[in-house]
Amino acid sequence: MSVILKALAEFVLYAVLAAFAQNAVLSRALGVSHLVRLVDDGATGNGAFCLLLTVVQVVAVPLCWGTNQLLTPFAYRSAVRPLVFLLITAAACGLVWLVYWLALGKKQSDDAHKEMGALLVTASFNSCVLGTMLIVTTQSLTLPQAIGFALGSGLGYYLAVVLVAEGQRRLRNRRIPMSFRGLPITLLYLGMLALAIYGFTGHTLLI
Amino acid sequence: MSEKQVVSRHGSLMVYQDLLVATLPLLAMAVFLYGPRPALLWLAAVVTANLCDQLVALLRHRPFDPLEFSNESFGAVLVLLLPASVSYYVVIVSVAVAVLVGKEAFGGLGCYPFHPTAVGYAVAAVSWPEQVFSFPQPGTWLPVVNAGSAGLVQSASYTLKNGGTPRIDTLNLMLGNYAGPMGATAVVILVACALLLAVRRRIQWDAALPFLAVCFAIAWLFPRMGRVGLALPWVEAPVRLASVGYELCSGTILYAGIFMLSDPAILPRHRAARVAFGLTLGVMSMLYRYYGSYETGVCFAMILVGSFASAFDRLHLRWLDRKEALNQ
Amino acid sequence: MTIEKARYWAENMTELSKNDRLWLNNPVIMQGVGLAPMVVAATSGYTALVLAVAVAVMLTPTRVAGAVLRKALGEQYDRFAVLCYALPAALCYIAAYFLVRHLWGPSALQQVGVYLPLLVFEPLIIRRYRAAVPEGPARALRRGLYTTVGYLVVLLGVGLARELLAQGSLMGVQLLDVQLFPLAAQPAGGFMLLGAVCAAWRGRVRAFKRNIYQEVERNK
Repeated sequence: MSVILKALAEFVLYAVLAAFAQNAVLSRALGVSHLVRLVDDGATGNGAFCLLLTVVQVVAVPLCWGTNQLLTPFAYRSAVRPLVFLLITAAACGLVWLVYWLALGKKQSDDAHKEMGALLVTASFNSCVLGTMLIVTTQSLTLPQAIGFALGSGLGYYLAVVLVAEGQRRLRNRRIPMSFRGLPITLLYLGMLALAIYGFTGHTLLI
Repeated sequence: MSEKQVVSRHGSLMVYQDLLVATLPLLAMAVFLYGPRPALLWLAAVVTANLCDQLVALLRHRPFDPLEFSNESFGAVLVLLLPASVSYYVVIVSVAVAVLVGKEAFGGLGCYPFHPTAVGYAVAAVSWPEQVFSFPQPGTWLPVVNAGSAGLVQSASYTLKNGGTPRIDTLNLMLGNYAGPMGATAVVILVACALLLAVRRRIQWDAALPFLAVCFAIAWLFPRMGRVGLALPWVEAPVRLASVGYELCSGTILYAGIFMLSDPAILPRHRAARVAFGLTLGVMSMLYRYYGSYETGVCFAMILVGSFASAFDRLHLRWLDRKEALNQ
Repeated sequence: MTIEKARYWAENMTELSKNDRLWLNNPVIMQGVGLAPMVVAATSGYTALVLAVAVAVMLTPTRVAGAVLRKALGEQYDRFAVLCYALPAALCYIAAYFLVRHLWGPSALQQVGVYLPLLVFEPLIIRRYRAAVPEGPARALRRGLYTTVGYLVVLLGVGLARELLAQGSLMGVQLLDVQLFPLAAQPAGGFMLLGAVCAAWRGRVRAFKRNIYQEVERNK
């Protein structure tokens, strides 16, 4: 029982850590290129994208954790890790698609399927997903810690999306100098949020 | 948003002039305690802010308004958050970042999402923590050019952070006769400045009071000194009272509540939303103070909470709509 | 610039801008890709060079392989679009890994951390999979090389600038005794510096285009 409680405590701790102090976007800039596009593109639902990203991460991370244990004896595991994790991501993406198809697939139109498929692929093959998998393996987290980190990382990504989307009213202000509109001002905005997070952690994270 | 709309939305540009003037009594006290150096630092900050203003006017092909003191007020408020021993270079860089990045890049007056002073202070604190968090002893007249690092001590906030109990008597606490930021320690003068700003109707009470109230409550309920633990709120009242005194007076909480929360640009528009903003800022500021890496966290908290200031307005409007729908 | 050249630029501005991956349509400045390694890992000229070598090895071969696979798969491409680019990227990464290790040893890999393998999913390398219009291998090669050069210029420039500001050195050679802006070594500083560079660059590009049109207008 104490083992389960300890695992649960670690899970929650790492989830909170990954969501705030080690935020995927603000502390490590993971998936920031996608985030900038996502917030600019009003057609794509922020919530749906982040939900899919989190689900794929949570499904993929235990697989990559287990696979990493098998890779440990190999001298050049670091070279092949991205390839292995790519295949795991593809498998996780396929699994999520299968669950979606079984649950909702028959009720949706073909266009909705296509849209969902495109969104799922973008959310899966995202540097935030690969980055999370690499971090949990290179920092030797235990399984509960790794799953907690994956969940928190997804939530942290959503938090960053919400914060940037919330700032859009200011970031689309016509009084912003022309040269700063769009990507430059978004980067400055992210920089200030990253500064605020750094004010809490006070140290550079291991990369 | 046109300049006219900005001005009408934010009442009057005079708010920044009043803030600038209100820093002068604190500056006078700092000069009394540390010699002429604080005055020169203040001047460096104000001149840097002014030059940045002129530079932006040149780059944006618009006339420079010599009677608009927002940048100068940000510089003046920022420099008083720093120790009297800080180098001129740190002051110049942090003011330049505050004005150019924190304010002008976002469109100028009234358009910035974060208080420029908070941005400038955060940059200085992260870049030069050894300078920003080391303080000279009051009564030490510092060299004008190079203050050096000899004779610098940690502040009461640092002592609290490391589980210690500061030993500053009430009179010294009120007069600012202890090591701390130049303008944030003299409580008596801070209160006088607050009265001045209140008379001029510059203080946004609907944000400042909840902010200070929450800080008070957290310091009372969860003191970092005296090993009070989770005792009932009325147990160990003298220790709790001392905790409140140190938490509110030794850092930048009181100063931020008076000077930085007076800027209407960073606050939500509606009263209820401002109250919520103040409460949230208070909670985040104390969280940063208690668990953050730096001994003062109100500027970092202000950046974080400022990022979702508009959400408070939206939630308030949604609540009003729902209330109206229920009444119909 | 001569008036004929100005007229040519004015008439073909959209096409020329699109093809100019170094200056007018830089992948970082204009398209906002490849940001993560630049903001977090490229804190010095050395780490920027390590990342630059990896990008040089990965980007163009991935793009060419993707173009070839797309052509080979035909109608089935949509099912495997992302894998057509991500798989070659992962394989090219293996080559990049060993090259970096050979040139600078395991310490270089540690210094850039996860941001080297992260290039496998980086939009800079694989986003071509989303393009509606296929490209031939020759065009993919040309575009890949131009994009690589454009990215490398910004990556190395930002890395060197961050090292100079944060440490006062360039490629490990100490030039200054003071730290001009220590925040530049942190991700927050990386975001801000990159934002400022983007703004300055875009401003310059706008001024360039404006001058062209004004020159043509004056000589009508």
